[in-house]
Amino acid sequence: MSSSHAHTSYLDVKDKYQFKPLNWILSVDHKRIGVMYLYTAFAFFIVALLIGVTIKLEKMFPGQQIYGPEFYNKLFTTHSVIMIFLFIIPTMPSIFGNFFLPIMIGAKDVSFPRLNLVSYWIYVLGAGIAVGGIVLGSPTSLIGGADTGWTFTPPNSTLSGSAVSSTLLAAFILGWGTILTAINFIVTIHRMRAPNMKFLKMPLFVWTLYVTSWIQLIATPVVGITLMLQVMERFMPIGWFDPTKGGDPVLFQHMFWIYSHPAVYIMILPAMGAISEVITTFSQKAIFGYFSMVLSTVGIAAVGYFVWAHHMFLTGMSEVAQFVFSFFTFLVAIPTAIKVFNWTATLYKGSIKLDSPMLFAIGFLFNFSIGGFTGLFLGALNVDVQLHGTDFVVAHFHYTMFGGAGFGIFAAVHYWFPKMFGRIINEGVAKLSFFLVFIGFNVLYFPMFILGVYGMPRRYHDYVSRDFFDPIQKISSVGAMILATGVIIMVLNWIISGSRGKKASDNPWGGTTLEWKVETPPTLFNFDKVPTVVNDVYDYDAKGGLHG
Amino acid sequence: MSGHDHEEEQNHHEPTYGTPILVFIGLVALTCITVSSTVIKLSATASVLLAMTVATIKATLVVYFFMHLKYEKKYLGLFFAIPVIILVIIFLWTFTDYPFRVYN
Amino acid sequence: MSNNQDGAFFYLGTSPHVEHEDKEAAKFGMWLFLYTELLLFGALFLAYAVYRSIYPKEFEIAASHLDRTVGTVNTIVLLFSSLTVVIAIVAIQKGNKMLSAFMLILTMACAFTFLIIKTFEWKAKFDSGIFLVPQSNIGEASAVLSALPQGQQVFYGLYFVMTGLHALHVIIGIGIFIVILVFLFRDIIHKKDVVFLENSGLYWHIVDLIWIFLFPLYYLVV
Repeated sequence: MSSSHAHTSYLDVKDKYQFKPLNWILSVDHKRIGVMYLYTAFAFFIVALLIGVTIKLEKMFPGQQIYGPEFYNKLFTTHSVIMIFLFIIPTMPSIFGNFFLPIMIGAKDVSFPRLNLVSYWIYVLGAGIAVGGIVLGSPTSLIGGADTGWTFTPPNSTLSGSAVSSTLLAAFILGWGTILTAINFIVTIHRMRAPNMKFLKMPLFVWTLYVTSWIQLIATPVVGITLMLQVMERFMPIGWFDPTKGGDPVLFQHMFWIYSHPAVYIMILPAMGAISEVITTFSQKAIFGYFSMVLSTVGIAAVGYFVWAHHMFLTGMSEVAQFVFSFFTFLVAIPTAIKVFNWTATLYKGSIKLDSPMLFAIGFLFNFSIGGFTGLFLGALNVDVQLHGTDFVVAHFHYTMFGGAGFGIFAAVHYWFPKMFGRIINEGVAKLSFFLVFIGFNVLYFPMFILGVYGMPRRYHDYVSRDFFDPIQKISSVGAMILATGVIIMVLNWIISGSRGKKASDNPWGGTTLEWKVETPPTLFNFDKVPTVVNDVYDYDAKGGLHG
Repeated sequence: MSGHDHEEEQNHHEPTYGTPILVFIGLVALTCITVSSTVIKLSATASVLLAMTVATIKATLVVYFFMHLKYEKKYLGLFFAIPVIILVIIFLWTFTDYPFRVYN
Repeated sequence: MSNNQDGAFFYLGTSPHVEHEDKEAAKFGMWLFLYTELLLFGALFLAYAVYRSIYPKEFEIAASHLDRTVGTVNTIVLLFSSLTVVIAIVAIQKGNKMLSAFMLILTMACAFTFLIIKTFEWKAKFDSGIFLVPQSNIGEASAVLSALPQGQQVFYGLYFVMTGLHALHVIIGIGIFIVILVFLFRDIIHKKDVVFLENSGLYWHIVDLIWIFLFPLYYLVV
């Protein structure tokens, strides 16, 4: 360990290259890589958010206002492809996992730092190809990317003239980036923990990163090859999924959802891990039921492999399959509910501080519960006949992925920002932005449950004017604008606080995990020497710093 | 400084030329068995089962000896079960659909 | 990583005589990557299983047009190449660099042989009018292929994609072994650090493993 780096933060390490960006683009420091992901991923998030607003603007009134159905299809496809593949899936692991995983386990970096950097370049490459498809379109369909939905269902995705192949190729490449990150994390957690840090002494965020990495490792190759088959099917009359050649389009859906259902657990688990960290810190109380949190994380991941075809109840699958998948869908709710219970129990009699990270965490609890409950509606076969393909589904997954994972991401930013950049986010503005985001979110999505029950199909550009539809659509669209305003204020707050905020101390929130015991921002190798882990991970009464 | 002690030579087993050669002979024998078994008149399901059983035995030999899993630390073998089990689940669960479809 | 004194900087290319800092980690990482290969091909085997259960007779008929002897020879060739790569590892662990290099070259020769045989197999199919053609060239696939019963069309589609993807992995394997051979001659791989060679061997065994399952499913259908 080089002591000349003793107190220089990772941000201030002496530049090697004259051309400044190279000192980041070629850096294998896990912290710098995490920050690069932060900038890239949030840039895409804002773009996709604005697309979402554009969608809601068109739907505010019946009849066509701004654009027609073809463009609408491209908009919602692009919105979902960016949000899923470029934002939610990578963000928690690649930003906060990269930055904090080594620190939280007492290591100086991940096991394969160069592979880590390569993973980032792969992410950028995949993103570039997706953007290329969006901006350039295809030979037969200029501008706008694919129009098939992110689910790329054949035969539509075989026959569509839009930029499907480039989007599929982009998704394929992005998948390999996440696989490499997953390998890195699994090996790091096994090989680089501080000597006393047994598995059951790891922070819950690390546990969720670990389990998520396994899901990514196992599930992603399946969709990778499936998407490649679909690309081939567009160019060659193979007939994998083409009934006129003996194929079965439902098989594509099986293979697609075998990944894409575990993918939603990839999206939510690390966010849940961050929520665990925030809730325990802002209650100044050890998480209730640490071991059951660990078990439920593993349980969600495992049972998550048994439920994929609940996205396919109406495809003509056998009734046996429908029964099996519905049954297991109800089962997977159990470990999830255990987590919600444990978080609530942690709050009980905790000394709660409602700073912005905690506000987002509580917002998470509210939103994710609604999302989870409405998933049960969809898992029930008879109800799903009515609700499949309606706005009810759209509301459900936005409550879980945005209200859940998204809010978890926002909580994580507010929580870890001081440690990452050495500055405090303006708390007043942060609280304001939280309320705008929370209220806007619920005004936007809750009415969509109602619309869905009343039969409003999803992915529809327009609707027939009706007494009760019209005002609900208007309210929902207004919610989108409130939400977008809140998000923009929130992100601007981060940017401005990043350069003008007050300097942060090492442990502004009173956390007990190792990242709060190192310098702010961390030095290049995180620790002067390997820390000795003595106490339980969430022991708020324990005294002592890095070495017991 | 990887935070790990230097117990890297976990396979204290002395490498030999003999074992791999024996394993290879076994693999060739199994190949001959599976090819010649095609003369036996079995039902479609039974012949697939037989072929897959032999293939699994061959695969086990490759993984256990050639890929050295026998001499590695236990966790490597345990984790190998994960993709295998997931694949089994994927196959079983997909086959809750196809054999039970009712076409009008 | 010991070759990053100032961690912020990136080295392209390995400097020789740098030991693997954590050999167990490198090996574990390789195994994890191989799990993805199992799942990648596993998904294709799933599609095969589904379609075979739908079209048992057509699969039987189509498979009878594949040459069983050729398939068996290819199987033996790959099994032998797995043996040679293991011997290569044992050899360098005993300090026998020349034997190790010879075994690696033999492995690559087997890989080439496999590919050549495969090329002839595919060519035979192309010559009989069965091949996959881009849509833009001909309105339909080869007329012969489209005239076949649907189940047989699906069979051939699966056959070309699965054996093609497998062959791609063989080609990549050859590329990897070339690099490994260079490492061996430059003493980057040596008696005390065989991790690169072991990992490349693991990759190669997975390629062999895939074929062990492909072979009966395509060539031994009765």
